Amino acid sequence: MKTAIATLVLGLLVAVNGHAADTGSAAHGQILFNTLGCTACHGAQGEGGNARPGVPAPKLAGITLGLSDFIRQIRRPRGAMPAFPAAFASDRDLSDLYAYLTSVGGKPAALPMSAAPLAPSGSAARGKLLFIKVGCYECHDYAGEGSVFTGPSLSPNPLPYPAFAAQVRLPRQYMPKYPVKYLSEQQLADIYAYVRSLPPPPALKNLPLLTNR
Amino acid sequence: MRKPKAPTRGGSEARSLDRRTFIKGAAVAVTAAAVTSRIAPGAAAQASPPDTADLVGTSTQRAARAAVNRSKLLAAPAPPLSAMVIPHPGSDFMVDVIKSLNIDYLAANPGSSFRSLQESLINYGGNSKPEFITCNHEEISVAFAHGYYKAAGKPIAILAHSTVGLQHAAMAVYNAWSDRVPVIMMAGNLVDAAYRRPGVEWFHSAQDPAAMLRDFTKWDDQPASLQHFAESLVRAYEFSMTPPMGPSLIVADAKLQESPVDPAGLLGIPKVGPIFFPQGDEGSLREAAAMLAAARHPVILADRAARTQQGMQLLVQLAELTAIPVVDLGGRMNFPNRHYANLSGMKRRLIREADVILALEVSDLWGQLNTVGDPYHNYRRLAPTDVKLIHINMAAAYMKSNYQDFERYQAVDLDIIGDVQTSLPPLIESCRRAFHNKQAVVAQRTQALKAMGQKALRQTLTTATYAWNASPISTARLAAETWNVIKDENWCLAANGQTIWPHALWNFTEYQQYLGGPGGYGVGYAISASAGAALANKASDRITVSFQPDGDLMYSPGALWTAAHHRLPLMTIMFNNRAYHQEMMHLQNMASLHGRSPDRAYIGTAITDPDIDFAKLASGLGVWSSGPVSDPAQLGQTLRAALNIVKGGHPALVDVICQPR
Repeated sequence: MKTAIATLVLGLLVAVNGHAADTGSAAHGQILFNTLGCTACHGAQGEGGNARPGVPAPKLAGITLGLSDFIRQIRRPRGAMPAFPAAFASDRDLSDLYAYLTSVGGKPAALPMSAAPLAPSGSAARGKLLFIKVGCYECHDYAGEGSVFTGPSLSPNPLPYPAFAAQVRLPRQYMPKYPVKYLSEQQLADIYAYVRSLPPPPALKNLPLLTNR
Repeated sequence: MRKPKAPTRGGSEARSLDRRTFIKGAAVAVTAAAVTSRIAPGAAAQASPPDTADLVGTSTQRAARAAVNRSKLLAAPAPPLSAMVIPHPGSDFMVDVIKSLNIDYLAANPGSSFRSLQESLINYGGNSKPEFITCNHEEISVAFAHGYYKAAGKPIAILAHSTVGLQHAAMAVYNAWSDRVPVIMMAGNLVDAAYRRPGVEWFHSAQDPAAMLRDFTKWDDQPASLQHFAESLVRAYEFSMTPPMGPSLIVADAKLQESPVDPAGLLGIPKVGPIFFPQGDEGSLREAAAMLAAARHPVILADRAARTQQGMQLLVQLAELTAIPVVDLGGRMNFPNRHYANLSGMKRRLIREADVILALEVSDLWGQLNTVGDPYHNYRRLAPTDVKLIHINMAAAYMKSNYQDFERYQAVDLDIIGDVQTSLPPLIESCRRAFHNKQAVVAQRTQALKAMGQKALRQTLTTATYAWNASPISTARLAAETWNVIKDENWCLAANGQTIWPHALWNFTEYQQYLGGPGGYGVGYAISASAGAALANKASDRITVSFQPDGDLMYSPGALWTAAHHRLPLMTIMFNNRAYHQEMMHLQNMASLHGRSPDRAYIGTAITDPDIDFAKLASGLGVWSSGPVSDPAQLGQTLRAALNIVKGGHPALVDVICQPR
């Protein structure tokens, strides 16, 4: 997994900059911001947001946090943020990410289209079976809606694949870890495909049982 | 002291033999048998203890006297045993004592160690106040009483069959203890070994039967006389009902039950004294008000705080006066869930930012301020280290050490020993003065609370849409469909299935609408406590709704029969997720911790193969039932059909196949 993501990230990096990133490279950080999936919660422009109900994500553009605190938050986050261990983002990567976020002030530039979040292809049908077999449903329910007591919702708005994979391989807190030995790269991709295939919920305004309580 | 009620039933028309006469008669018969069939003389001695006079003099003199006595006795006709009547047994007096406590019901599974008392209850006492509630297990009896108290605000009694019955009852007693709920418990026993019949009665007797429960009962006694019984039962009632409340146990000795009341005895029943709810020290309450007024981010944590609707209203008054957000931890129905100051769903954030916390009878205060992760036991402080803590509570009055339900020690800045509800009026008055010059702050904070609540509600409702049409049915959909069916009724939620959704989606405004949890997290509580609550609520035409976990029901399904037998309006909605999911999660975590695959955690935790047909189970126990329902579109109409049954005064069960959480 580490190799796969690193290869993809490196490919994009070369595509954008034409050479490997230097320490504190804002350009490299810009790509990581999307490929690591930060945009899912913090917004495409790092403006912060509420994409996941009850899990407000702070604004990152123009971040004023010190670098060491920034890295500490990513390694051992407070709140609902998934942890990103060094296997998924090195300290150097995080320095680049930090450089990007501090360099853009309050208005980060739009990202190149080629830097969309990375997700390997997988089979949703196989993933559905695996979702039950390896026990994901236990905390996240069969439809991925989750519960505040056990595990967050996986759908709608699933985490970007890098964050998803990071959480499965080296999870924060309560979740059991699923190393490659027990869940192959392909199986993980299948599960992710299943999570992404889950139908979106109906709009709140169309559910009188919830709006006319 | 009241004079004992004169025994009046059954004595005049039957030939009366008191206990002493009966024993002598038996001794005659046995002695005669010993003479005629040359059975060893010791047989007679075993059957009847010798009179004191028989022990005077030498053995020769005693033998001579005995020979004379034997011949006299043989000459007299022995009364047949069937002629014996004890018209005024001690158990009648015990019923008088029980009645003096104004107890409406007594739940029990029958047992021979209290056979005399049960007979007195139903015939001498007329099976009224208390009325006998038939249970199939002592765990059901105690949990039934637990639920009844929380719905009615008054206790009922239970009877347990000595050693075996008390062991069956133990888990439910621990729940009641942990939940600070009074249960008036009595148990049969036969302490006099010489009086026991051979065999079973020995297994059902103990030197000290209350010992096994002593770690989690407020008080117990094994009275040696009827007067002793009267005083101890009244004392037990007063102890149980005085905060911190809890179960008490009085052993009703079988020999005392079955022996005649001594007509010359001076028996009296003490009058129950007024129950005292101690108020916290007023000086400390003034100091608490000053601390709250000086705080920038105060928070109120309420757990087992309110005892009645008035307690809930007082807490609303305090929150509105001070604009302090309230986190209802759910031990009782403390605060209306839709009130703008109720920000229970934002607990972690509020605690993280708090500078003063007012805790109201919080069972685990340390656990609100700190976390210990699982499975790594990694510690993290949640509250600021300099947060000031005020705790109004009665925890200091608990003096038991073995069972650890008192949770981790938490030092506080202002510890106020007192009953919360009694202490709230003086605290409110002190706050009125302390906040006199804080009106702008209060107004600003009120607006902020309203805005935060609205935002949180939008998020909650959005989350409730997730998996809305999924099968198995989501717990949010289950709660929403149920609310739609019962919202116009007079209702009570006796058990919430440990999901957030009823409190997120329903409108709780009355104290009697929610009864909290089991207390000790002991499985087997929900169905029995809900049945007890249904009995209490029946008196006020309130229907009782319960989200019933499948694993919990399998501990005590007999409670359904009790609900059917006693016509209890209980709407049981199965939260059937076909596993002990909490335990499955633990197994997954252990596998992960041990470097193994988590994918076999279903072994020993899944409740499948075969799937349990709860509708059929309920039907077999006399309860109207429907299901399994796994299509969310079918759920509403099934619940409405169940409601019609319940409104007709009968229990109903709907088996709903749900998502795990």
